[in-house]
Amino acid sequence: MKIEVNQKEFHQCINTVRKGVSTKTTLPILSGILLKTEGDQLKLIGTDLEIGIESFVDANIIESGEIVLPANYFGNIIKELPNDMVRMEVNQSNNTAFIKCGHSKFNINGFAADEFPTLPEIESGYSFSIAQSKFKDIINQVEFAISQDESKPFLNGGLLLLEEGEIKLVATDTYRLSYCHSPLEDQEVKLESIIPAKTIKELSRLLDHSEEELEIIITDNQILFSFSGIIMISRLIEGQFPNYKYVIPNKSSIQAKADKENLLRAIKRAALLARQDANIIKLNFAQDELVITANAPEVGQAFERVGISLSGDETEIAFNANYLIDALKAVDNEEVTLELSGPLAPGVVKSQSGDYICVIMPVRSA
Amino acid sequence: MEEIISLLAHFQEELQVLTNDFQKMKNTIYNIYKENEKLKEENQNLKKLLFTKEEEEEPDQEGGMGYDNLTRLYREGFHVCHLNFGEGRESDCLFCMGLLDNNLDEVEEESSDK
Repeated sequence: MKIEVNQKEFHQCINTVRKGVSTKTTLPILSGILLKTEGDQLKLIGTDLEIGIESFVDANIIESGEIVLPANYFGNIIKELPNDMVRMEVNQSNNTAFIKCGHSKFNINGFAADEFPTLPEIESGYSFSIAQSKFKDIINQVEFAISQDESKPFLNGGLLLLEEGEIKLVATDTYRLSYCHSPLEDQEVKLESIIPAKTIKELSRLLDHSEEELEIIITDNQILFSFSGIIMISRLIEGQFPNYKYVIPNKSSIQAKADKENLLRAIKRAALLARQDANIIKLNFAQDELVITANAPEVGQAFERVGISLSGDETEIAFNANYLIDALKAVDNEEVTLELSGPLAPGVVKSQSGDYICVIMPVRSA
Repeated sequence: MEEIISLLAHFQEELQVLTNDFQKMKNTIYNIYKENEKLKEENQNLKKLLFTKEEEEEPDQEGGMGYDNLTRLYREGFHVCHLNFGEGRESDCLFCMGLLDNNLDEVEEESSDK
């Protein structure tokens, strides 16, 4: 294989597929990136057998071929090279790559490409498209609530639902639940699948804030995302996601509307002193103001006031400040609604548009 | 030779003592076994009596009792949701609360129907 590639484009492409590369593996070849010539492009693949990322970069192909190079060394070398044409020659007989750019020369030992696992072919399955920015927003509003508890794998991902002409994404760690829905054109089927947290995280990183289409194909145990010349294939999590519907309260006795930014900033400030007290902040809802307090016995007390419009009785409730901050950060409207039904009942953070809901369990405070 | 005969006689005596002890133990174990059988039977009869009595007293409150038991278990610091049933909980759980609220609604609906 003999190729010439622009350093900047090469580095960008390596960075894309690098996130699919396994960091903890017993198979050394999985710590590498597959480089393969295809037409007038160079194809790069990184996989840890659970997620696979494939991307292309334009190249001057002098001689076709393929090789697997260790992602860490190869990625860092290309990153540090000057912004010029990178010339790469692969010796297929001993699986080594010679890299030359400007006055820099490197020889790297690699692996035989035929030992690299091939990504599964996904031909059948349900296919639909959605704008990249829309899906990125949905992911960002839900991602934070995914459970880290590995003893319940079905909670280590987000539930993707297609039903009632909408796309929905739900995640929960049993202490909070975030839910986002958005209309989806020409969507008739009803299906659900659990997308692993890592896939969601990498998608959120790779998707653009553009109106370009993202094509999604879902099969029984795999999901494929195709966008901006990148293909990401991931396994789906098996198991039954809990019934999220009965966790979302369908009625509330108290509603408070507030400016999202003001509320978020006030909670962030109060949270500075809540760290010593398990991040607990108290929210005191009065008719036209919300008083937020935090108490750190050894440090001091925090006291914040935020203007609100309250409907219902005045009340007091305590929350984990981090949960509230995460939920408020995900709201993309200027106004936010807090819905409560008492100091021990779950609180609901709702966006003005109503397409985002986060249910948070309050904390019993003394 | 005399010494050996004397030893054998002593050994015979010891064996006799052991046999007697063994017989005593056998009798004791047999008595315990009989007593255990009797207690088992008595326990069974008492359980039967208790359940019959409970069923007669509260034939319509199964839902309410189930709800009370779950609430008590939850208050004692255990999950009652199917995700973590029986596991100790660190703080309040959304799914346990959802389950208890739904059960409460059902119990209330049932009692209002009656």
